[in-house]
Amino acid sequence: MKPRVELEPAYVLHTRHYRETSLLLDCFTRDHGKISLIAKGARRLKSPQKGLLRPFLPLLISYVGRSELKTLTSCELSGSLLNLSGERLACAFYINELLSRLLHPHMAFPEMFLFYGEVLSITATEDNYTQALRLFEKNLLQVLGYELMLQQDKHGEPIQKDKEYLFFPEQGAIEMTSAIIANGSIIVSGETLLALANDNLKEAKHNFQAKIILQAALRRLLGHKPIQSKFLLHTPMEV
Amino acid sequence: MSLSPLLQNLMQGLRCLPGVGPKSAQRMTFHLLQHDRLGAKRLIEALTQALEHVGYCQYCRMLCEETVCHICSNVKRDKAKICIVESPADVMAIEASQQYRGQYFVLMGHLSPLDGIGPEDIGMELLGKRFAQGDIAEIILATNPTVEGDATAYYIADMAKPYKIQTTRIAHGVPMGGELEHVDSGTLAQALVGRRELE
Ligand SMILES: [Zn+2]
Repeated sequence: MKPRVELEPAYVLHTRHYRETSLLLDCFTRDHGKISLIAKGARRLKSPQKGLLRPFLPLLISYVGRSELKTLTSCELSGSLLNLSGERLACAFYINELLSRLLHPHMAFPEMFLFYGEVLSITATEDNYTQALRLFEKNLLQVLGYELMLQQDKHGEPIQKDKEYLFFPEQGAIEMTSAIIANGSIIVSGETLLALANDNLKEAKHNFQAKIILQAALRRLLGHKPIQSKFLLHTPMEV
Repeated sequence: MSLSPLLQNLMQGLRCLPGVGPKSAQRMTFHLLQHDRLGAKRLIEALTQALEHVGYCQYCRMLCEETVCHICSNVKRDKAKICIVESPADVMAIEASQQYRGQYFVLMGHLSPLDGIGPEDIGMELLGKRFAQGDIAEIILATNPTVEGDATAYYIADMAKPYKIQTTRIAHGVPMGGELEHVDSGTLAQALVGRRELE
């Protein structure tokens, strides 16, 4: 008997054409993390999977296989379709790019899987969706083992709301004093660090500074290749 | 029994064609050498000529051997209207519908961040120049109904905005002549989200 997985909650991260009628899929699943699958015949005109195997749809997938590349046996919709377009769609692509590039295969993060679904739905529906994007970046760093130090500075002193800090993703915050030359470093308020620690980025200035910190931390993991999803927008996003 | 190196080589060559697996490649190889050597010669000649001379139209990026393709150079076609598609096959499909008398722009793909395909790979510089020339009044975005096709359509719509170009996206959804119960749930969900008011 081949190992079989039934009705596993999943989202498609990316699809590629394979041969004439098939698709190769990278999926983010709840209990098996990131996996690769082949969907045979999925591009045939009458394939029941044709409209389903696309990113940002909550799915239940069944598959078999021992090797790295699993074979999809069935797939159904398990929730409502999100109406993502424009900047919101580009942000959803960005989230998928992060997961595709940073998650190791087969490492399951069931809580982050749920959070991913929530963030997608916030991205599709809410005005202040970039806040959710920041919290997803923070959560991703955390599960990958690169949690940011936000409550204490480098020397273990509690972060103070009304002070300014230099922030280094590897070391954490260092209090800004006149003796420090801040050339090229990230300057951030204690208030922002604490706001990010408390998952509360409602204020635009906190959100903006948090983005700089989080993306600097992610850049270390992403390597030299810049985030490609930003090229989806002709006019760059404000936030 | 294994075939001689030249036969194997030919079979391997044929397999670069879409839909040709080992079985079909073997059938084609035997057919050409056994029954139709003249046909094979014509094929070589046609391939050589096409490879040497076919390039891209300098206005619309359609495959053609002239600098300007026959659609772009046809004076009867509406120059103020451009239909933007992903591939030459899409041009043929829309032409077959006989509903369209404007010109085209062929992207030769779509934006896909995870495949590293960005705006410069799909001719956005050329399209931007054509927008800036000011003779385009309307664009029809006929990219595929995929997330990448949607993102590409949005990018182009955003690019067209400063030029006050009328922009539409072709409708997607339930196929004609089909019964709802046979339409897959993904397509049906898309059709519901994109529903229109009845006039
Ligand atoms: Zn042309």
